[in-house]
Amino acid sequence: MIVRAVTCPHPPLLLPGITGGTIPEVEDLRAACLAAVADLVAVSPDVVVAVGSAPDTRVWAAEATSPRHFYAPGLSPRPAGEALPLSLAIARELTSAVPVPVELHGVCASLPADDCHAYGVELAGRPERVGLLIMADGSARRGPKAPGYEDHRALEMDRMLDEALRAGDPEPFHKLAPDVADELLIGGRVAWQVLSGACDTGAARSTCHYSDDPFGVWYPVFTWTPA
Amino acid sequence: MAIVNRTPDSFYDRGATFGWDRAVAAVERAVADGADIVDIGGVKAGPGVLVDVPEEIRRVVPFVAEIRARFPDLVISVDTWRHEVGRLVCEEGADLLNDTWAGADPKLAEVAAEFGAGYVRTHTGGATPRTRPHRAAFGDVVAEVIEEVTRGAEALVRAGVPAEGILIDPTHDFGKNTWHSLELTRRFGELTRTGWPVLASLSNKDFVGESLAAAVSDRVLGSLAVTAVCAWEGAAVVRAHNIAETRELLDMVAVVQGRKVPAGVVRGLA
Repeated sequence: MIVRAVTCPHPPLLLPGITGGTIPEVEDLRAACLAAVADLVAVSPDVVVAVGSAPDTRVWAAEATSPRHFYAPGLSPRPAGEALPLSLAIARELTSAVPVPVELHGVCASLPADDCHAYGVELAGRPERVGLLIMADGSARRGPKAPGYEDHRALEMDRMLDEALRAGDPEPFHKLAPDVADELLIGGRVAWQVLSGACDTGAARSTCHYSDDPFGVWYPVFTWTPA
Repeated sequence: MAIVNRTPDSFYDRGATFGWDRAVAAVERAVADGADIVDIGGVKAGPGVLVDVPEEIRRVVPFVAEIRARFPDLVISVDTWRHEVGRLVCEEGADLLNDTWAGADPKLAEVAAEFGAGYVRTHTGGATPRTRPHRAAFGDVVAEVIEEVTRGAEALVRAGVPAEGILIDPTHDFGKNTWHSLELTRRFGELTRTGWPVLASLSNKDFVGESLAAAVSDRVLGSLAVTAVCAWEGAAVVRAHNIAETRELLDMVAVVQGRKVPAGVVRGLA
């Protein structure tokens, strides 16, 4: 059963040391994510299952190397071995102090909506008390200074998803069209659709920890407690 | 290589040389300040207002003709990715096509081959023209850049572009974050050791700004510092906004490396 779910964004900015000097906006976001993860642990899950987009759908080894080198060469020697997908690397950072086992589940970034939903239903069917950590962020096309520049649909789409997160309503995530999500550079489509399957028992009780776009990408941090 | 933008919206000059007279004056000043090449552009690199082919032609082609007439010996480069523009500027006497978007229009190379023009082979990681990097990631950014630009340069030679006119450019910040651009700067020597002449395009870019927490207007010293690093590592051409400062810096590096004699040494020698 899902005892609580948290959604956090996964920009490379949250990898340790990657901003060089301290960026206050990044530290605010990190603090909100860590507060949400603390919320997740507060309901005593047996296991935390982190879900994020990945090159393919499988569970990653917790000791896989960090992808930090791909984004910040020169910070440290290049590690050997397979690197975690970005989303799961951020999840691992955010859960480094969590006192229960953490599983890192990658979901192929192109997996169809119903398959993502089914993955979530399966997670919810597990016998343990599962704390779900969904790694997802919104559009990167929210304005002229956004990484993906401006798409007139982006703000409206993010607003709709923000309202769904606030209402604890999984349905809009299930309906999110993959092609539109890709066009809007939404990094969270598959993980949110896993959430929609894991929490499809009705409206969840929602807490907002953060919802802002300091760098042109929408970063939502929410806690859902299923009804 | 002096940057002269016939644009109303480029990030550094913000339209200062958009007007005809001011653009001509900018070329005159660049030459007086020591530029060997001018690089004329009609489209802002970043996203923004659409500039279609006719508008780019209107901004750039008559201007190239004017500069050719005024400065018969100046090397004229044109910053464009479109073959329609490339053809017309070559007809007006442009010497070099600076294809900042890495072959986005494959016909541009055919134009260079037809006219015997030079060509800058850049690296954007496959980015679409006028887009910003978003979570770009590389296993080894320097190795990937070298692989792409040298393969591209060899393809240009096969297509008939004169080999002696080809430059490679790692293209700092295009399809890359600040860490990637710093790594390319740190390991610039690996690019020059490919044997191809290397263009360093660093001037006032965001990787300098993020390194020093410097707004666009406060990046001159940082730009000069990275220019010194790349010049020391063998850059053949440096593309810059601040020509007098850049010329002086390059002369100083050349003196230190023994490629140029000091202007006059008497101290302690009398």
